[in-house]
Amino acid sequence: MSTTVPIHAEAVPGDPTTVRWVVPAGRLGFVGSPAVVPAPLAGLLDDGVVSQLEVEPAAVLVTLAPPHVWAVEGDRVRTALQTALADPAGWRAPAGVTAADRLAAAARQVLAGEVGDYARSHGGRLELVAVHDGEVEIALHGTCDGCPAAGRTLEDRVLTALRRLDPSVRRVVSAAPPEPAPGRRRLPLRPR
Amino acid sequence: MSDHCGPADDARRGGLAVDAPLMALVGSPNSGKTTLFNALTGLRAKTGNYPGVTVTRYTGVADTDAGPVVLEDLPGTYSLSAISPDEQIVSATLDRDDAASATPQALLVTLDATTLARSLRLVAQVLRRGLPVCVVLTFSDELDRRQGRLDVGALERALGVPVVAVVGGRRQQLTRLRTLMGAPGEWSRPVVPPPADTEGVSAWIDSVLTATGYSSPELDTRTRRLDAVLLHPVWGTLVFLATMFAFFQTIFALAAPAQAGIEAVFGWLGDQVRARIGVDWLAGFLADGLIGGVGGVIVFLPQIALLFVLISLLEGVGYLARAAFLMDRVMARAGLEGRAFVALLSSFACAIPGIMATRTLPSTRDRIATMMGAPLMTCSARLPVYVLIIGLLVDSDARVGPVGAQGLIMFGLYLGGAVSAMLTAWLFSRIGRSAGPAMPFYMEMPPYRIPSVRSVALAVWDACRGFLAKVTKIILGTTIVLWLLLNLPAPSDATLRAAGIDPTDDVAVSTYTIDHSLAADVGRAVEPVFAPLGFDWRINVGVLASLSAREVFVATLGQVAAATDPEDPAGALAEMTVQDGDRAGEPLFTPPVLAALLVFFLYALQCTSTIAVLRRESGSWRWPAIAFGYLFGLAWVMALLARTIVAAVT
Repeated sequence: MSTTVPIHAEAVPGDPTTVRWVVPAGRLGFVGSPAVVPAPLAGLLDDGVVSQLEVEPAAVLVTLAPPHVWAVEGDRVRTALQTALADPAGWRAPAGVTAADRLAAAARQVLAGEVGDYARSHGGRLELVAVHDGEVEIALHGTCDGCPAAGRTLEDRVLTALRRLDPSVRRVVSAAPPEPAPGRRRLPLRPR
Repeated sequence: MSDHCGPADDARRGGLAVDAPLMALVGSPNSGKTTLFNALTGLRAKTGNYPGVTVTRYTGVADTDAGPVVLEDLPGTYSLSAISPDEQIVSATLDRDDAASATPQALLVTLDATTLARSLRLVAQVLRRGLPVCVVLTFSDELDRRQGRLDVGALERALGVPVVAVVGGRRQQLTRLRTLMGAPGEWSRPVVPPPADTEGVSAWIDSVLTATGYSSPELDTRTRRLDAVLLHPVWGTLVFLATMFAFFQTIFALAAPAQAGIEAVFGWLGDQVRARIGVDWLAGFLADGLIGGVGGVIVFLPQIALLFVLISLLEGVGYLARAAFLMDRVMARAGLEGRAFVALLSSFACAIPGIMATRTLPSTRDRIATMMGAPLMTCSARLPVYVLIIGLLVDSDARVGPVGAQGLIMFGLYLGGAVSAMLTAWLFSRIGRSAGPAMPFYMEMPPYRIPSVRSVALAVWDACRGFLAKVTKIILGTTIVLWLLLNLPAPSDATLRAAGIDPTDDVAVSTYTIDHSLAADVGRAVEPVFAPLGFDWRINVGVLASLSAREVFVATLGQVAAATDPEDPAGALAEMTVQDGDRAGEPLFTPPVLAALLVFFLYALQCTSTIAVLRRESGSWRWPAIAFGYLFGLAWVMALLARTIVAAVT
């Protein structure tokens, strides 16, 4: 098998100068704008070809500095990025970014993506509450709240999607719902 | 040229102005490209559950929301690396610098959802060409059925071009595609095209597959179980032989009643013509020449139809691809690749598509070798000749154990043709041993599918239409010429009386006329060549005439027989006797002579269309000349051998 890091380019709607390079999930172990990047990529920054880098859980957003355009620079940036990704240790995370920040970014991406769409299609809404120690806490709003189908099903969906972006996730739990009104019983979120 | 074999719809622009937008369809073999083409254009190019069906280029007109566009169906290809001739066509068409071929304004690329990992390689190459591309995802229904998974929206984002999922050319699903095709300028383009190097493309494909959550389909349990038997070296081969065997039994058993019906109709027509038309020569021409000759060939329409019903069923179900795979092992041992067998298999119906299918072969040596073998595969033109001769050789009720003897002989002839074709290909591939290394061969095992009634019906209709077209063009023309040659010079009453024949005895007169005709002179002139095979001048005339098309042989004998005994031409044929030489007075069609005839037709290259295609595909007269000479010599030797052997055992 090839040792070339599998990546591909996706357009960023409304921003022709930026390309989302989809990279293997968890490859870099941090999110945000890297403090240090390996040589070939650093060279492009220094030469003023690339103006900005932003690491996502499973992508690197690269913005070109004008007048450079993707049609011309695409192959060069790909090669530089692939070389840099082959050396994850050569990247340095921005100051103050923790593993929890990385997991939170991944969770936000999941909730904004396909799983969130699923909840929204049923008139519900999912919200990230907290991330600590590999555990992601989400809150269910709208019609999800109190729906017997919510609970485990939704948590599983989030977990599956999240694991693809960040393998460090341990579990996904629904946040404790707001205190129910006295005398009113809620359906359990989890079956037995 | 015969329409029977060639593509009927070569280059149609439907009367459109030449400046109508041109789009092209690109895709891997067996990716549903031609099905999509037919659905978009309403044309009826041949499709099959079988790679390599589109070897010629078809164009048609597709309606879009913004008016008609000209759509070209390019040959199926796995890459644009331009090794084999058909890859070169696709590559040159997509090359904007290549002035020889018009570059399409936009491309539709078919992508088989069940073989995404491999098919994306072609997509990567196409995307780098910089033309607007729309990906048409095919077989996504099958992906679902086989528990595969694919996020079409994610695929669209990852490729950066529009992706439309279409199932099996269902017209109602083409609405979005037709809308898109109306405005190729608005299609999204990849922001950065995929890489060019092999390793980079592999990485790109991995990344795209991950992003789309792709899980490849499980091998259908049904397909897997069937393949365990059908692709088994021993059981598979046995099943293959049994299938072919049943095939020929069916052709004889089922077609016979329909054939008798058509025969009766033509017999009645002939009687009517003789009874109602007062002018003797005109009645003779219509009844003996046209109805006896052409009718004698049309009688075989049921068999042709049935042959194609069975072939298209086997092909549509997916069995022919298995047969090719089974034979690939044998072929590999002979130093030929599986693609060569695919080409030979196409020659089953007619040698012409088979010869054209050699375009998928990357090596020139293998191409030539396969072209030399293709004319030996039993084509449908041989069928009428075989049926006629087998009918004379054994009774339709004759049985060998539980099976009909006629079907058994037919099976043997098909088998003999196939084996000879492969041996010939092998021989010629040895001769030109200097060519390059063996190229990798991908042959897809399509899942077993129930073929659609429409596709079977189309295949049969095309074959029958082609057969009738051939009858009305080549065969009718040759028959008229033959009728003239068989009836000129017309003897005067004085000549007849001098020969001791009563001018009022029609049968005696026509027999005398034919015996002293120009055709008889020609037939007798070549007698020294064919005498060792036991052929008399009448057979010789048939054999010579059949150089234009094999079926003419049947028409010739039909004319001769109809003139000899208008009441019972079939009986007249069976009772013909040798007229000259030391066998004079003995029956003409003895088993050794019939066997020699069958074998002669098995080997001889008697088809002007095939020779023309050989010339076109090989680029010179050298190879058609070699094929004709080689096959004629082989036919003569083998026929002599057959005659000697059959004479020894009977």
